[in-house]
Amino acid sequence: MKKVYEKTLSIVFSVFIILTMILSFAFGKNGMIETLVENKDAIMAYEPTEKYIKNTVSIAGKAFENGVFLKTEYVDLYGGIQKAFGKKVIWEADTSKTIMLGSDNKLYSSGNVSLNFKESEVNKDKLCGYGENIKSFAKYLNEKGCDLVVFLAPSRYDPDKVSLPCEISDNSKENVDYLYETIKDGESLTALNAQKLYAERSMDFGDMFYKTDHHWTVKTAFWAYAEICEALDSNCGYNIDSRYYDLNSFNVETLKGKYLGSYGARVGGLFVGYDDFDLIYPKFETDYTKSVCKNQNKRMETGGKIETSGSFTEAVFTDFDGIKSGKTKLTFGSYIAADRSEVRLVNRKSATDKKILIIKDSYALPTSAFLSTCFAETRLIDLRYLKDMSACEYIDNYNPDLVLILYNPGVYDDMFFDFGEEGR
Amino acid sequence: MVFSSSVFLFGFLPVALIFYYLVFKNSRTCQNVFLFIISIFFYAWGEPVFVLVMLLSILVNWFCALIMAKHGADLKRKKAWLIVGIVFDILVLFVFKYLNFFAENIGYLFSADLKLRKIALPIGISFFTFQAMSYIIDVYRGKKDFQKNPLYVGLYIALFPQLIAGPIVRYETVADQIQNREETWELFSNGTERFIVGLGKKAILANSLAVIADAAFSPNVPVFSMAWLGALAYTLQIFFDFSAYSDMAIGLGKMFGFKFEENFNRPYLSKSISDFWRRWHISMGTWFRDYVYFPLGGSREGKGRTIFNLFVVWLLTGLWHGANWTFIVWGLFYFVFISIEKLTKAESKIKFAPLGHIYTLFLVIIGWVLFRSDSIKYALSYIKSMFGFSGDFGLAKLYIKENAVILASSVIACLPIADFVKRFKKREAFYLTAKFICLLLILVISVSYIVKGTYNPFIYFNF
Repeated sequence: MKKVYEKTLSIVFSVFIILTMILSFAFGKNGMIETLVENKDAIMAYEPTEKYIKNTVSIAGKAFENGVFLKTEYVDLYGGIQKAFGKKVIWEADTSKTIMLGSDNKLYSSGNVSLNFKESEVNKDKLCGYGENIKSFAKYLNEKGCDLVVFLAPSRYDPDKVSLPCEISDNSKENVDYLYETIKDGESLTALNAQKLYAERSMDFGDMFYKTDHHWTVKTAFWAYAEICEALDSNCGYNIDSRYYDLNSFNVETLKGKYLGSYGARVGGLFVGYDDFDLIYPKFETDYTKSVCKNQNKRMETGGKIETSGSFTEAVFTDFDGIKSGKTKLTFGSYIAADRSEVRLVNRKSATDKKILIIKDSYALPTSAFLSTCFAETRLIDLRYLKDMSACEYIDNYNPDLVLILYNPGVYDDMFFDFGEEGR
Repeated sequence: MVFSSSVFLFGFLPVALIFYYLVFKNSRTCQNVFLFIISIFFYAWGEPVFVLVMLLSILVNWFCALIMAKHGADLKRKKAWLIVGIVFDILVLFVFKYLNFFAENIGYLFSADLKLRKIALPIGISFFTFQAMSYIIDVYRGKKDFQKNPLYVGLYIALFPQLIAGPIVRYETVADQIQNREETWELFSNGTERFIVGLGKKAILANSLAVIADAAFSPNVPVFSMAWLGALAYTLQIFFDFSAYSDMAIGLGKMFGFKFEENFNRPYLSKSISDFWRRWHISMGTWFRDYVYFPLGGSREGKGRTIFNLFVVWLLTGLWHGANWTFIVWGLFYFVFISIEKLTKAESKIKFAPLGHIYTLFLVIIGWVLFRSDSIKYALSYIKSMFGFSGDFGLAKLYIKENAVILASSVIACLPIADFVKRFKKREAFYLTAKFICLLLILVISVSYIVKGTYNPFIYFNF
């Protein structure tokens, strides 16, 4: 018996690690290649220094880790074990990545804090400064005959309604309201406070967000889209055909229990479960060309572009059929593209012949996708990655009819409200 | 490369096993050359430049032993070459580990600006340097013959299982195994068991405890409750972290046919400080005993000399762990208590065992606070907080609640559960099946922690 045990244990262990290695290379190479492509610049910038060698080795290690066979299942198991242990906080060495379970059964990250103001109280001076920047920007746009809409997305964390196991100094909710107060009466701009609008419409706060992700749901993004369209009609005289922003004009396919957002991916699906994810696309006819810059940090002119043409499902989604069948990983960036410095959507069957520029972060992706049905051309710029040009300079070249600013309130930071010298 | 990483587990180790057992199975020389090459690769993965320092150390020590052997009976010349080798080893250690600290303190003493460019510490330098010294000393003492082939000296010093964090393997222990070892199913399965247990201790327990310890040992000294929780968590973390590495090293050694000596023997069950040091980091303790304490005269030359010898050993033990006053004070802290125990023969006087356990554990915990602190000032503030009985329990309560299972499991794992489990050995089929299932469970759970990418430092890498 002992001999059988010894042979079995030795063989099972050896086969387990050898098979995992082979299967990781066979099935996980996409994850490995993805990591290598992401770090292409660092790898290509060869220099015979210890720092370079160590960094390259570290990238190779990360690439391997990302390709481990059954990685998702292992992370799920990890989450299940933490749940079984009764844990509500998943600490990380990098405390900004710590994930905690709120009383509303949603995941929260202390990372929000690192992107938020460090002070425990609302930093009114900073917010006033951002407000002034927006107002100056509006003036600058007005001189060019361009409208400005600022849609202040709602905070996911409401300290009055949600309790967390650890205290975090996330002031997003107050920040949104305070910034709104500073700009609501600004000239030549339309400011929309989603928190206020939601309260006015007595909608359920809890349903606005995913439990495994920091983003709002696609349905909330659609609601925001409809609010923006209504505001454009009433404040800017756009007269957009209301069927363009009526959900009944769209197909809604719900992928039940298929979405694991960025927070969920850190703790595994068994910790709090998966979210449902809506694929919303027009019933009416569409004809698009989408151009996405190849390099996250470079505009199309300098870094090249990837073009896709076809209907909304064919062009606006990254891979509609793949997402539906489960072959392609479902992410919030399944709408349009993951964060890039610049994206362009040309819609040949739009509701208006106007051009829009959306200054955004990832929060705006589905909303932008829906807005693109109304505009002949929709461009998205992300000020985190647009390095060689300010928003004002970009506008000088593009000459849009409308500029929309839409950010996740968790990322309010100087770089998001610096629109360039001309706009000050 | 870290054992508890996907790259090691599903990259390095499978390749090593495939080549060792399938490709080179008929040639011991090829197996040894292969083990040496992958060991260098293993080290270079984390230290791509300092691997050259290790290779130089291997060559110099091999050369010194070679010359010593050539001088045969000429003891004077033999000793001279031994000194050359030891001076080289100590110099390497001094330059990379202590030069900055030394210059800083000399500068402070003489109010001079002696700040040097920061020299990075090569991973595991203390371990491979001590093994290198063990080689030339054992050859000098005639315990083992010198190795003609530098590659085998390299294999002894750089063998990947024990290269980075020990155990410090003595040359006399493995000299014969390099060419004459036997790989068996029993040894391999035993090695697998040790490796899996070590992996579990590291990935599941030590890494989780590290989160609590790191939270407590933050720049702001914690309040009473958190200070105690942090000290206890660190006490458990350092044991599971270091003993896990030793388990994995011993296990991996066995997988390739090597038998290393044990490094831990339930240290937290010790009844005295002297007992603790017979059970904790045994390979280092015996190294200092055989290569420093005994050559100095041990305890055979009177009380005064014994105390002096102990002082030297514990000063060096403290310094070995790092170039910081905290380590020196930590070493001297043990010197004081071991000297007292030796002089008063306290070990035999403690009749009530629990009292011995409590006394030992209390001092060990205080010792770890010194060890974990960045400065003496911080350590004193921390210890003060431990006895300050002030502040609230909120944070400690949260950490205890969140980590109750891990804390309880860790405490249980410090107890002699192996003895309890062995009672079932008579029911062989049940015992082996249960052991097999438990091991697989530990393996899969550990892999889930590793693949998820939890906090994963090895404390003893720094030494």
